[in-house]
Amino acid sequence: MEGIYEPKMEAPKIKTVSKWNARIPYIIAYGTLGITTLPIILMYLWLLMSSFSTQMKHGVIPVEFTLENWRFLWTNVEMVGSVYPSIWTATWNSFVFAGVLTVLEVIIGVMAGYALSRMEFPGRQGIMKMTMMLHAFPSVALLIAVFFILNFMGLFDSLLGVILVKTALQIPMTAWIIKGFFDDVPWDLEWAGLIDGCNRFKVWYTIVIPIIKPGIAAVSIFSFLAGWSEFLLLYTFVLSDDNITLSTYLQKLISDPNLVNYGLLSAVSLFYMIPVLIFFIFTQKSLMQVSAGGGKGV
Amino acid sequence: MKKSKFLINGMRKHSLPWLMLAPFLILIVIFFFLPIILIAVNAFTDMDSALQWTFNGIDNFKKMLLDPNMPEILKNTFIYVFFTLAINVLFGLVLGLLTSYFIQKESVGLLFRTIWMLPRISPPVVYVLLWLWFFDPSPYGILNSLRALVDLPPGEWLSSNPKTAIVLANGMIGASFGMIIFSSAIKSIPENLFQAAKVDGASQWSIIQDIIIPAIRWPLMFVTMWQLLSLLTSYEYILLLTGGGPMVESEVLSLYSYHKAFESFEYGYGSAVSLVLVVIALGFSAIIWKVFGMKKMMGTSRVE
Amino acid sequence: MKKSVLSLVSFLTVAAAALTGCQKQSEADAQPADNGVVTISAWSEGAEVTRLTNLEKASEKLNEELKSQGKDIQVKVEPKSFDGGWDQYAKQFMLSAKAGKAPDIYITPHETIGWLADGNYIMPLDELRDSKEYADVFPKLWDAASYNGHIWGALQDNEARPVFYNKNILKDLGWNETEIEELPEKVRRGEFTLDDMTKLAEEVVKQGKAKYGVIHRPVNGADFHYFNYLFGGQLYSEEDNKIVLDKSAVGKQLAYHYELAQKKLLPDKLISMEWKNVHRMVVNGETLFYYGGIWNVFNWGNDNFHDQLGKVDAKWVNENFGMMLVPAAEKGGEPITLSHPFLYTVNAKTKHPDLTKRLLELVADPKLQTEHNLQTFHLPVTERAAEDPEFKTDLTLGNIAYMSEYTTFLPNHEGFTKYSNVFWNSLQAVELGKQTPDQALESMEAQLKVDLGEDLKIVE
Repeated sequence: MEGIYEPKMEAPKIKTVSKWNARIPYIIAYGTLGITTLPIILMYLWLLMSSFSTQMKHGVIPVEFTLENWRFLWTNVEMVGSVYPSIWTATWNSFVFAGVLTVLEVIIGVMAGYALSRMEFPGRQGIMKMTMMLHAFPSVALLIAVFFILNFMGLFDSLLGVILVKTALQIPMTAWIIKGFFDDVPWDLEWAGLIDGCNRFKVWYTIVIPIIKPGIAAVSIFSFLAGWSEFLLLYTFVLSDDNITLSTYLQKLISDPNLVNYGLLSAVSLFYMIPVLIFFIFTQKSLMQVSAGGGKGV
Repeated sequence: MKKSKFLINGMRKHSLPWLMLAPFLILIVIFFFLPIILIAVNAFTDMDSALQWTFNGIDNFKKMLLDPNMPEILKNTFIYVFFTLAINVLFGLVLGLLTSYFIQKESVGLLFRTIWMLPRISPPVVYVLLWLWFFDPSPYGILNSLRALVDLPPGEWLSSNPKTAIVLANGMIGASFGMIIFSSAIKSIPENLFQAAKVDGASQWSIIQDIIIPAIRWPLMFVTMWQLLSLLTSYEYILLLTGGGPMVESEVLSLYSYHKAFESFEYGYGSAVSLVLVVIALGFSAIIWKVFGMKKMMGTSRVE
Repeated sequence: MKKSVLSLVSFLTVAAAALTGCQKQSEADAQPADNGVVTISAWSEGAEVTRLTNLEKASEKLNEELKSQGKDIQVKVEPKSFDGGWDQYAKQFMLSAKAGKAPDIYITPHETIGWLADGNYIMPLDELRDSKEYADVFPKLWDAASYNGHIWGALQDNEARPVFYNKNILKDLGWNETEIEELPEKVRRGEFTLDDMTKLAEEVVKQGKAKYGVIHRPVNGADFHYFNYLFGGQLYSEEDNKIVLDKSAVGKQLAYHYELAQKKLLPDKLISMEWKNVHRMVVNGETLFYYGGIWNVFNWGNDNFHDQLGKVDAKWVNENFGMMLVPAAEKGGEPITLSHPFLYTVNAKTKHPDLTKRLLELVADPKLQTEHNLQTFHLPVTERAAEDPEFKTDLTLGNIAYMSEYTTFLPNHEGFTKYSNVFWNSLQAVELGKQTPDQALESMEAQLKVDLGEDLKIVE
């Protein structure tokens, strides 16, 4: 690891050696990075290959090209007497879940973020502190109680119920991020609008919102992906096949004792990953920032 | 006239913010505050599959002390949190250093960081599937296939080393969290510090030790505390990967409360375990708060 | 801060009021919407869809009946089949019952009626016992449907859990045809004991005739508890309505599994295997004995478990395997098996109790029972169904119908699930060699005291 400390006045002959020495840390760096990153690349590559292959030799080398694993796109998967619901039902539900979640997050988050950033009212400090606290709160520990509440509201086993729960669990973070964006909007701009005779709503609409667009975009992407990937809440609070989503669909396939068909599993996984990958490729930078800022999961 | 207008303005001034905060607050009350109260009450009942609120005093807490599973679960929790945290922080630091300091070319660093983000943004079910396939006990699993190449018999990895599996799977996700925070902190170190050190002929090691580490001291502590808190209370990946098994060999405290409530239907007991977790978590939050200070926390949680 | 708390409280009340309002309205909407059609929903779990299709067929009869009575009502059965674990299935019923979304008919293994009855989830169905459709039920079976002095479900089917033995391996060992075919009878007479079985398995493994001597189910289940009865134990005390930990029987039980594992008669890590692999090992002749269930014949015909043949039919199974009772613990003792009847239970909050009950009477029709029995390899619950010629001539079922005489049941007490989970943990511990039978029994006792508390009775 250690580079050699060399005094400035060395003879040139030794310098070639020390140049080599100076490179060692870089070689180690690239080496470590390469070795640790390779398995990740391989794993995802395997996902792709095994979905188009009849069998994998040694578990890793694809044998024969097939589209059989993708049959779930046009027929319902059938396993020993039980027929799985259509993938399109699951896709639609996942889409509705993630979509409604995103809309709610953005609307509620923008309203709250603005109030916290721009308005002076009694209790503001208290709410800010509370938001901060909740940001780190172990919400999964509350699932048992959330069940009673959903039940009481008649929203058990409904997507809407889980959407509300998920919105609530994420809203402290969303509001906080958006508040940050509002904080960056210079007051002058808003003042200028006010002086021009617009009322506050109009100022908000025409001047402030366009400026915080990147923030809204980041929050939307994050919410959508969080909703799209959600598993635990859906698994715990949604039972019927009509409300199945892609994550619970896939979990059902994985845990089916009659089937360990990695071809089919990886095809469904890839299908499930499509929106994630699209967002990932086009928006990785802001995605990385948001999930770092709000890395609530592990 | 003037006075009444002022009054209306005043009312507006106070009602508008509340109006805008209303949906936010309603959600928080219904899905954070109310559950906390319910958990706290339910922890003192023996609610089971009949779902009736029958109070039984502190029986659940006594039971927790006597529960023969408890020592092993606490031990598992400690091992899981400690080792995963070590991977998260140390390996996250290594990744951060490698991708933002050693690799000077920004595009290459970004590429590696992007790849490391993949596990993090993959849906948990898909990510776990990859590990299940890796550890698959049949000869078709990747680990067993590789062993077969050198004539080793297939192994039952998930049942013989469940704790290693959950630590690895969670560590890989957590490491990317550290990586991102550390690399952005490293990047904000003024370039001329490094140059000065190099001119002085400082070794890489001493640059890391004397310049980088002190500069990212706060993010380092923040990541440690934050991850500690989330590791203590999250269990989604364990639930999917081993389900806590075999027996209770990979069961951690948070998963135990889930299992007690939603698998053996001992809602009262499950709530009591949850309550303990909530108290621990609040304690940690308070410490984080103390150490980092309100102002700093408010600063760091924004999108950088 | 005080003010904010106050406003939070007021938000909460408003929200709660709005939400409960919603709920009442939607309930009111749901009720009057039947224009002559009554929908009765039913849930089932697993691959045996005949449990549901039989209900649909029974509803056709019910509709004819209603028509002839001049009633303007038609019954439509809305079936729903789940897959996934039994835990999940129970959870789904429990939680949806609290949310008012439970089905009218819930098909469940008999031992769940304890918690279902205690939690007021299902209604007592005592009158079924007097109905003519259920008049000829094998009397012992009613025990499985009884709890707290009431009948809680309509018996749906019954089955046997025989020990499968591989005929080819015995042939290989030098047994002749008659010896092989006589084995079940010897077991029945108590001449061939559990010890003999273990010794035979040892011999087979030692001589390399088979990879394994004995295989049991890889996941928790009812099978394990017949050993408790076999060793003279009990699981439930009726007079105290308590779960029993019979220490001497459970000790012997654990010692038996410990012995199997120590002598390497079981596959390594059997308890963490997939069902699929277990079926594969059995069908491909890797084990001499298999503690199975008669419905396994159904499973093996449904999936490609055999390496060369793929799906195997009942004929093949009977040619290659024999089925016997679980041998007695000592010479001259009683062999044993355990049945696990399924019940149709009725939601306590059903809106159509009378129609549902009538439907359950009609579904006991011998023809319908036979259809289910033949397709899924189960045994009938009534004598008339047992006399059904189609059933009697069935190759597999005809051979094992006698096992019902030796059958036992699991207790219906709700604490039994906990007992069985704790036992399962101890069993895993001894098979993995992590604990000796004594240690396992000790930790089992400690855990049961905690988990069951008042509901536990310990018998030394």
